[in-house]
Amino acid sequence: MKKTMKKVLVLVLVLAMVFAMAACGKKEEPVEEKSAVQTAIEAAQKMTLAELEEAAKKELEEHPDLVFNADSLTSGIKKALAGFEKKYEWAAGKTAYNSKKGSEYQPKLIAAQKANSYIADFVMIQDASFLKNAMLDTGFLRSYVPAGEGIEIAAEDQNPLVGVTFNKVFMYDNTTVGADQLKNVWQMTGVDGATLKGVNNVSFQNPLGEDINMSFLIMLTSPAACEKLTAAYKSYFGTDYDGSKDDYENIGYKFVAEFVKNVGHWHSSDSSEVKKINTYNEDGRILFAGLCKLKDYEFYKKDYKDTDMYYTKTVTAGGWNNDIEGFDGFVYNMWTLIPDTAQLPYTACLFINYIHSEEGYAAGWGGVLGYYSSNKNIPSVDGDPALSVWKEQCVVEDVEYIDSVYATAVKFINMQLAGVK
Amino acid sequence: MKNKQPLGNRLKSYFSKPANVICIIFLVILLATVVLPLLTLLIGSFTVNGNQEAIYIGQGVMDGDFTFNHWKELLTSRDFDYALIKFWRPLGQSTVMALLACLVAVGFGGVVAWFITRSDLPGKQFISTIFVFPYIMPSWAMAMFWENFFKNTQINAGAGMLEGMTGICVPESFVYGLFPCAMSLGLHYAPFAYILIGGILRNMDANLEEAATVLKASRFKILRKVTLPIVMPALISTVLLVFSSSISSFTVPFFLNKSSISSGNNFISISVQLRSLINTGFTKGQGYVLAIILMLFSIGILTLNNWFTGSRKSFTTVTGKSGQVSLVKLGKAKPFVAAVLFIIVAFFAIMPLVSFAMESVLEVPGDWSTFTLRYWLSSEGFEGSNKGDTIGILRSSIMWKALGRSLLLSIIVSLIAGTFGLLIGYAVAKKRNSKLATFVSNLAFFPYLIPAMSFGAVYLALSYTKGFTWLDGSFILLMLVGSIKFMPFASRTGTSAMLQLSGEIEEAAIVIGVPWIKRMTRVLFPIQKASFISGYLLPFISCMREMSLFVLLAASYTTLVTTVLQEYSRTGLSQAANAINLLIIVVVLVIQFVVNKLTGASIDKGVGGN
Repeated sequence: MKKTMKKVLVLVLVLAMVFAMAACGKKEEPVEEKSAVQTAIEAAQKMTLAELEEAAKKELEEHPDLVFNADSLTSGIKKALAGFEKKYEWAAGKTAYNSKKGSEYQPKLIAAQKANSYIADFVMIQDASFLKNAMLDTGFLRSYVPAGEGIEIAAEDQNPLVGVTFNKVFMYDNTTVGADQLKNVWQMTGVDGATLKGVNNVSFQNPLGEDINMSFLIMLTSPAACEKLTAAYKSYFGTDYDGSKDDYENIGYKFVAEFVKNVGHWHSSDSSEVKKINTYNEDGRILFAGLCKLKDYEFYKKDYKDTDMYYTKTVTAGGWNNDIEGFDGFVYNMWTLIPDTAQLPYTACLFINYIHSEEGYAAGWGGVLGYYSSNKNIPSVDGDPALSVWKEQCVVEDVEYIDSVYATAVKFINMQLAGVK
Repeated sequence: MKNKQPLGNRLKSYFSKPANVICIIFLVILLATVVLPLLTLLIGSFTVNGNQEAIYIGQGVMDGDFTFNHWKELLTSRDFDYALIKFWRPLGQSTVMALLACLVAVGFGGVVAWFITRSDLPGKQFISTIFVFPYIMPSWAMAMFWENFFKNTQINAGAGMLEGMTGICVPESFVYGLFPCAMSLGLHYAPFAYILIGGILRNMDANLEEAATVLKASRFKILRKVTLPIVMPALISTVLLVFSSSISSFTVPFFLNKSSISSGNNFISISVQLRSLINTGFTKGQGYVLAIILMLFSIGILTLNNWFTGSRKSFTTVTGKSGQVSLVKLGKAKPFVAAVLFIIVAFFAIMPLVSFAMESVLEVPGDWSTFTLRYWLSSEGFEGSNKGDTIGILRSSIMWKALGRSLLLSIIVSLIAGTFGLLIGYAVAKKRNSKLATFVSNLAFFPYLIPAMSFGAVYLALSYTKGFTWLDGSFILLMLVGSIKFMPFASRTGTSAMLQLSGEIEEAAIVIGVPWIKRMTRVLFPIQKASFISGYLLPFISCMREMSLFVLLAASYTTLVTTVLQEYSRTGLSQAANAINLLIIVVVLVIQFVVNKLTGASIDKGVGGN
């Protein structure tokens, strides 16, 4: 009995020791070490503008061999950098703008993220799904929320930080075609409605080469877009949409199928196509393109290029409609972020602060319609509705939705593009 | 019992032959520079590439997991007919397009090459000089010209040149879709066929044809039994290069696909599908699958090529004994043939240049009242359209620096690629039945088959890897990538030229104790100078106008002229983009002229332009 007791005791002691050792050896929950950039952003977040300016100046002075690299697919950043250098003389000649097209820049960002290497001090990118899944979830791109006098960013635009918002709308030659041609989105399926006639002359950039257009088509199948489409359907055909009469998953899929089939012209570049709007009177074509591209429409350049009227004339010659039943277009963002491997994080924070200020925004995108600052205090240009209005009237990019339906929606869209019934 | 030499002696004997040393050196170089991207593509086709792809596949997979999903999805998915639409149908249509392009390129280029080299056609030099212009231009330039010429109001595309001049409206399928894509690509690559086939025809020993004539063979029989077999390696090489280039061309099918879907004329090529798959984070792996399959296609043609050049058939045409070329007399047809050729060649070679020049000086396309030289000469920023601080391209220091960098890069790349190609050609010719030589030769061709964007992406990843970060954005990286990517041009021309050379020529030099370097530089190179210079000029031209390959790799301090062009194009300044295009062509022509003056050789002279 004693022996047995001894054995039990030994066993208990051994087990106790094992558990004790295991307990001692048990690692504590790993505390994620903050990167230098994270620490700098957190510090910058608590600074006044003057303090941030001082920190950025000191940072640049301490690293005379470094240049503040800003990567972006919009040349607005180039102009904003020029304004930044003008305002902060100590930064003059120490900034560089690198023009990067989205699809070509993404592999570069992924390579830098995987190797945790330096790529730039500031980046401005689009494509919500790429941003979320490849850059934010991996902690490679970080947000600094600008603050200070005159800057007010909505909570939903803060993380990730929206820099500038864009929209793509349906444009036409305002001198001959006019707004009356397109009043309801269902016209663009080519089918006649109760009172309105279908149109079959929409020009659309192939979504296989333009990601934003693919996102637009995917978003048309979302619940929010379906709601808009259902109301417009009733108004156009005079009856409620009855989903049981066809095989589509929802009214959005039906619209996509009929819209794609009815596109009359597939263009290869929005920028080039906008320049041809004056030739659209031949067939009354309707062009789906970025509203900001209207600045490239040069129809009136010959007569007005040296006058104050040039811009006004240009954007009124090419028109767009803000009263289309259904939706007026597509709204999407470009985000302004700091890579986790940035070498000049305080300068990046100051630059982000600058482009969200009235002065900085004016330097980069001011005076042009189709650009909208995430700073609620900066209004859109005269004649262009406020961003909140556009968001209400347009289909808005939503990363969660795109991720959730991508595989199915893209296959469906591919089938429509191939003309398979 | 077999008397075996000691290993040391055998190695010494093996390495005493220059061809063996070349094979071993290039085996090592190519394994490091070509197999790496190939493996990356292959691995990428079996792994989950990023979080977006994991979302697409679902089933709880994570980034980096092994998966068969990309292959299964792309080749077999019946969900919304996905495999059929995304892969099988585009593959079939694109194969037809590429074969048609080959036919146009080989037919047009071959016929012109024959007239230039084997007939007494007048105006050869002029025709020969301008015939290479379409190859110097980017391929989409021909597509743009095709559309501008044939578009018409009946298909709601605006009046084109043909309609303006004659009132003729061609059907939509002639302006947009598969047929015009094949024609544009065929015309773009016709000079390539002309260079390769013409090089052989020019150097062909006339005694062979004369012997056949003496033996009373008919002209057709001579063509079939003598001329065609001799040009066969060049013909197959041309088909291989044109097919691979055409099937992977993105810009032409993307530009010329404007028809509505209901017209039935809408054509989505396999390259457009490839680009859309690779550029989207959700389907990168499927893009890699497609790239691999396209490579397998080309490997099939490569095998055919090897069968022709590697079998016992001999294609020796240059014996060093006769330089006589007897020209076929065209007789009364001479002026007619000359006029027709002149009109056709000038039309496709000069008109696109004219259209570039016109587009660069008009504010509004087609409206001469908006004539301006500011996109060339203005020292002030382009006002009115908020384009920033862009100035006339001839006054822009950014443009000049980029042009200088492109020139330097292209010269270095052509020297490296050209020399590598020549050496590989020598090794292949010397060791024609050796498996190692065939392997090295095939490996040297592989970079051509890897899509430029993928090739660039692999080297981009390398430049971010520890120990290689010094390469990031550097000029050395551009040089390395350019030299490897454009080596196939040089290795093909080098091999074709070397295979033509009779072994007796070098053997004679060996007998009298001429060292290898001297044999190469004093004997072999001078005999086939024209073909070898082509091997240097082709990588030069390709490098000067390359965009996709370098776009990922060039940094702001290594900007090239094509990246500046792309920037203008992207910001809607098509006038400045057209001006740069024209400038690139002019620069290449000037370089060709200088090379011609210095060495007496040029691309077209290599064929027989004088």
